[in-house]
Amino acid sequence: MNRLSLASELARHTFLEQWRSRYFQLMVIFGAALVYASLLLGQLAVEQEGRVLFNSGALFLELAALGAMLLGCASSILRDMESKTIYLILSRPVPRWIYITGNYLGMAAAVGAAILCMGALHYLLLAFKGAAPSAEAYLLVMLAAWLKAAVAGALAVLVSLVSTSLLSAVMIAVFFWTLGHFVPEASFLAQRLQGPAGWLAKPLLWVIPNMSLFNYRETLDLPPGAFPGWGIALPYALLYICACLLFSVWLFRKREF
Amino acid sequence: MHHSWPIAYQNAAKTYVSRHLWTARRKTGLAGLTLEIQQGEIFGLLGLNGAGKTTAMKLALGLLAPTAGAVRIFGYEPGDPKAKALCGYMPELPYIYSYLTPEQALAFYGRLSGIPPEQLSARVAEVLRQVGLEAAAGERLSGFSKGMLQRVALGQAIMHRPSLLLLDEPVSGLDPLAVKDFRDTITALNAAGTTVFLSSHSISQVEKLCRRVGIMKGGRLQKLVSRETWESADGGLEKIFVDTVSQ
Repeated sequence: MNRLSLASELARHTFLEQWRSRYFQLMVIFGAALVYASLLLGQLAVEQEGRVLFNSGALFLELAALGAMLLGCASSILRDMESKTIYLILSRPVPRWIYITGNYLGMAAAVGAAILCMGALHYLLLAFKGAAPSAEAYLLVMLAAWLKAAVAGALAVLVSLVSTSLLSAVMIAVFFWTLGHFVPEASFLAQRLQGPAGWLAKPLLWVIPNMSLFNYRETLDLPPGAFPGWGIALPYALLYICACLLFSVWLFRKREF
Repeated sequence: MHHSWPIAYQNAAKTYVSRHLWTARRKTGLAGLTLEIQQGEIFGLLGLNGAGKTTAMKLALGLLAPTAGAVRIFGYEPGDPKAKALCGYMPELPYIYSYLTPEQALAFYGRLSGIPPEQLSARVAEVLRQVGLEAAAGERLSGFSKGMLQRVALGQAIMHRPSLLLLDEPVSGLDPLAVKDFRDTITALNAAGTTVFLSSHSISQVEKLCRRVGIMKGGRLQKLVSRETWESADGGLEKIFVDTVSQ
């Protein structure tokens, strides 16, 4: 069996495992309920109903996807280690980097499917209220939400391999995700910092995922936000995810069970 | 046919280190084990809890790395995918995803072991028949008894027709009929050429199955005993074992 088939088998397994998981299902149902509840928020906004319905729904969708991705990515390998199901995988001709990559790809695919489900509901609500953007624009909104979740998930995989518990792994990943929305501001401040504080702050900016690169949703708003374009967002996401997974593989290569 | 030993431990040692702040506690898992398992034999490791049986097995599977010495599986490093493709492993407890059915579990592990897709369903059916789980093939493992789970665990270990089977405490917790079925299956696999390396607490089972037995104590191999030796000794293997671990 070639390595691509092994990775896809592990990804398929993780995908199905996630969709069977109660936590994942709850997160998706909760996300969908919040998207639906944005109807209420829209009505409160009176004249701006469509805009609020779009923004709040997309935000809830993004948060639910993030929650599912972080929980899944931080717990998947830890759970396999605690339940010892990892014995029967790593005692087979499955290289460790394939195990990490396959797991991650399965999680990313599961969350992608969840985003599509929640997004379909949101788009129907927007269409019902006559406030739907073009289908193409909405698909790009979902793509941006998925990239954000995918970047945060890769970081969660890495953190889960160095942290002592699921809770701490999730908390650290959420902390970095939050910081990631303030990278432009942090970068502005870092340029003005002198001495040791500056030396410390500048490398840290490379570690924090720059989530502001994925704010495609803002381009549909009035006035449009500063989305840097897919030519930057996509390669950045790919590089960040690959870097996190590479470090994860490096940490995992000598792990004993 | 492989020309190297199925398993060769060359002065293999494993020390577990648990660190807490600035202190480190060391515990010997295995102390300089030198042992070769021969092609086509059924070899048993006997020992009390903590004697080093599971550590020896995990070293052979690449789940642990030796602190000193070396382990080779058919001449390969244990972490080498070529070595792993030749091994089938049944752990002490059946660590299998409980939401799967036996059919799904065997297919999953079969795919990970590299069984071609076009052969998979036939092989799953064959193994289900071999371990006596045809009737329960579609039921979830979460509702299975210990004995049925052990059958699934054995099934996943033999799915890819390994040359070497590593069985860690394979009959613990099984009822007498299940033990008999298990023994018959292992004997049949061995007759077909599979080398078997098993660890157990059960002297009587090891006595019935194995050609050679290693007795472990405190991470050391204390004695190697052949079937001829225990069959001709007063009190059999049990007496040899008790005398060895009581020293």
